[in-house]
Amino acid sequence: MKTKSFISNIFSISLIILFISCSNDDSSFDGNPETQQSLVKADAALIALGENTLRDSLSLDLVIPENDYGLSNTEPLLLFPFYKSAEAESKTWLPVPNVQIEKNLKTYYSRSNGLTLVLHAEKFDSSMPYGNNLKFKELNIIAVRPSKISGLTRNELDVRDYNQMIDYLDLK
Amino acid sequence: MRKITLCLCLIFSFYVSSAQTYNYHRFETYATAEKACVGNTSDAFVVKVNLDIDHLLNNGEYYVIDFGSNFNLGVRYAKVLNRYSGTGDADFYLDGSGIGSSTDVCSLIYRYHRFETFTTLQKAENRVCGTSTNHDGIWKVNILIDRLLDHDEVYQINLGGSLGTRYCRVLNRYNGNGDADFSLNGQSIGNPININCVVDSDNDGIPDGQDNCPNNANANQADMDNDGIGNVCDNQDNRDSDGDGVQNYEDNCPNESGPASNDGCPGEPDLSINLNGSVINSDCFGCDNYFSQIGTDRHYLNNPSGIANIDVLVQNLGNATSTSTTVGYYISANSTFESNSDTRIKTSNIGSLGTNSGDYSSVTLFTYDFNSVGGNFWLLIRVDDDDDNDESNENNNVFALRFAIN
Repeated sequence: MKTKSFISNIFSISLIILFISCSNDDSSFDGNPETQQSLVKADAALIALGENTLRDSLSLDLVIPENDYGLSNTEPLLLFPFYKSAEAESKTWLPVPNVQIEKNLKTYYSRSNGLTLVLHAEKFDSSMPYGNNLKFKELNIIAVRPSKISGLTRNELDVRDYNQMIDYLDLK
Repeated sequence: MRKITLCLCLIFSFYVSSAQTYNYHRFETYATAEKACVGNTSDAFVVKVNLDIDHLLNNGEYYVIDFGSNFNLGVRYAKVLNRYSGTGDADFYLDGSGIGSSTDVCSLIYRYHRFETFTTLQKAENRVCGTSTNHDGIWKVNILIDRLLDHDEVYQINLGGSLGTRYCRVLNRYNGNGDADFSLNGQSIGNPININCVVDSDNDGIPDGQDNCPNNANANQADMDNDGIGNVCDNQDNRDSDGDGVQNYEDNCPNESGPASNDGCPGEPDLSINLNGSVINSDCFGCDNYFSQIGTDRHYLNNPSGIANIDVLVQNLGNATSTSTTVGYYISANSTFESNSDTRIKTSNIGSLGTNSGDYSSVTLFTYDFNSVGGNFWLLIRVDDDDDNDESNENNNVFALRFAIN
């Protein structure tokens, strides 16, 4: 019985290892795997920050890795944060800023010193801190050269729609 | 038989004595004709020679004799000191058949010089340095001397007679005699006189070579920027009085620190909004988002959950770095900013910006921020809203767009 259980456990572990090794097999990501994974294309970059928790505020120092497109940390870039909540099974990417009246929550961001981004969570009807943990299953930042999305209305490109942005900027 | 033998010996002895006629001579020899002519015994080498020659050389006269390898003498100018027929305590024997007549060695070594003469050194200096063309006579002299004097140099020479000692500038010269006015023994002529031509073009007492402004009189040699050029002819003040790295002659504000880009004067930042990089994303789906393209589009928020996210690209067009400041967001009845009547609803921060650089300052406007204001109005966005910077242009800080709360 013990032998059977041991073999079963070994099999399970092997499957997990195999899954992990294949699940993130996107060779186009690079950067520091412990903190950020980045995909850089012409005029835009996708920075994946993984799991995070926002309690009132969360400061993020973004880094554009060296790339063939000349996209750099020193040029002015527009930033669009998106997250997937860890609370639900939802696959929806929510933009920052957003408002969730039912949770008395609003999120927004502020910026300083180039690519330092600070996410904020406050109560919807005041400037008081939200006071609860807002857990992100995934937190992604899209960085874009302003000229890349110039001349477009929301009808043509809704910058609050993660999938539209990914498609338009070819960040796959 | 004995008589015959004695007779033969006498005949042989007579033959030998008549074939080699050695004459003893003691010579004082000199390596050169000049030395021989001068006759300084310290230059002489005395030898005693039995000469195979049929006559005695004349006492006290000079002969040119090849002594061969004896004492390594070679050809020497030899003065006969004393001599007699026969052999003596000679140093060596020599075949003297090639010795010619006696010679006047001094006649071999005169050197022709033509001088421009001066009675004083000052006159010579003036002539050499080009400040005068005067001289005290030109004389042509054959000089008994072992070398030619150097051309154009000045020597102090006793010309003798009424001329006396003069400063003589050599005009031309060659070995041998010429059409000289007179001859003299020049063995005591020393080295040429070193004449430093001191030129003081501006007559300020400072020779040109030491004058920091040789063509403008400046006896005090004042040089305020220590660049080696005197003040009176220095049109470039190389000092950097304010230590800003811009030298005074290029510094419009030499006593106030300022960057070279502003000609050394304290620069001023000029903050403004880059309309091509600044964006508003509101609830309006049909509005252009970029400030440069909004035109008459009216962005809006839907009450109560609307959102307007604004990313303002603040740029510094001035020639000095700006300090950290704020961007203000105002509700206004018109597109003109009026501090008394317009209502500031929010601010965002922007850090220090270097010249010709820019950075984003972002804000999100919620309906909550408008404090129950509704309807149509103007939203004014104003950089350096707290007037933290003295800007070179204060009139490009505001951008206005039509806005509404629906």
